[in-house]
Amino acid sequence: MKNDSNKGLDFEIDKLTNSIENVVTGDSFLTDVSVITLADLKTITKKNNWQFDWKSEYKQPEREVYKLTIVNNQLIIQGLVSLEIKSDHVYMHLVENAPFNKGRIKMYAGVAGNLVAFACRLSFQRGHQGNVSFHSKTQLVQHYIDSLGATHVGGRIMIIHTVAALKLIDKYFGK
Amino acid sequence: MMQIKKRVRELDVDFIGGQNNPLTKEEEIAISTFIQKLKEKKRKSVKRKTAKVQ
Repeated sequence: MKNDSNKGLDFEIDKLTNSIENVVTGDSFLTDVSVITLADLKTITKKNNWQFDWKSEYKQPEREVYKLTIVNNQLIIQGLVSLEIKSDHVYMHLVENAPFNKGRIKMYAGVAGNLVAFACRLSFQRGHQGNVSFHSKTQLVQHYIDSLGATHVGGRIMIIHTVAALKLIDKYFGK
Repeated sequence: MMQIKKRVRELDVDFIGGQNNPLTKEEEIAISTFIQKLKEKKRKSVKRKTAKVQ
């Protein structure tokens, strides 16, 4: 049987670059990634249909929480990512699309991909050669191999290593 | 009629990770070992290329 784990380098994660696409109109919008503030957290609650407790992520000093927004529209958060700089890589604790970007009726496509590419870029900036790791559900392992070029290390662990990270960064931040 | 199956390549998830199962010490070691092996492989590859040029 062919080993799929070696196929991750010729992928096309998204047709967009550093942007997200309105799934209804097809219009694309340039994005920004910035650190979330205490004020942002007031609306990022389970009551507002966010799945995770982002306040708890924000409170953990070793973690950095970033928001993805559309350029010139900083108030509407499209998605969030929680990252931790480890000694030799960046660990991605959480990624979550905004409630209106989830499921079949999502408003914008490409949010999670943008945030993952940002994590890879941060990994290079911190001297970790683009290495990013994260936990995957068993049933999504192959999807991450195909869409992100990630490698399954074993158990729940996936790693996006240098070459795959460069491809992602090129896709999202290259132009 | 033969049907061509379209391969899904776009990341299509609403979230990644979770808050209930933190990274264990064993997993941290597994990640570091994997990264170390990658670095070693890259180092050897560069060394071989340099030797060829010389």
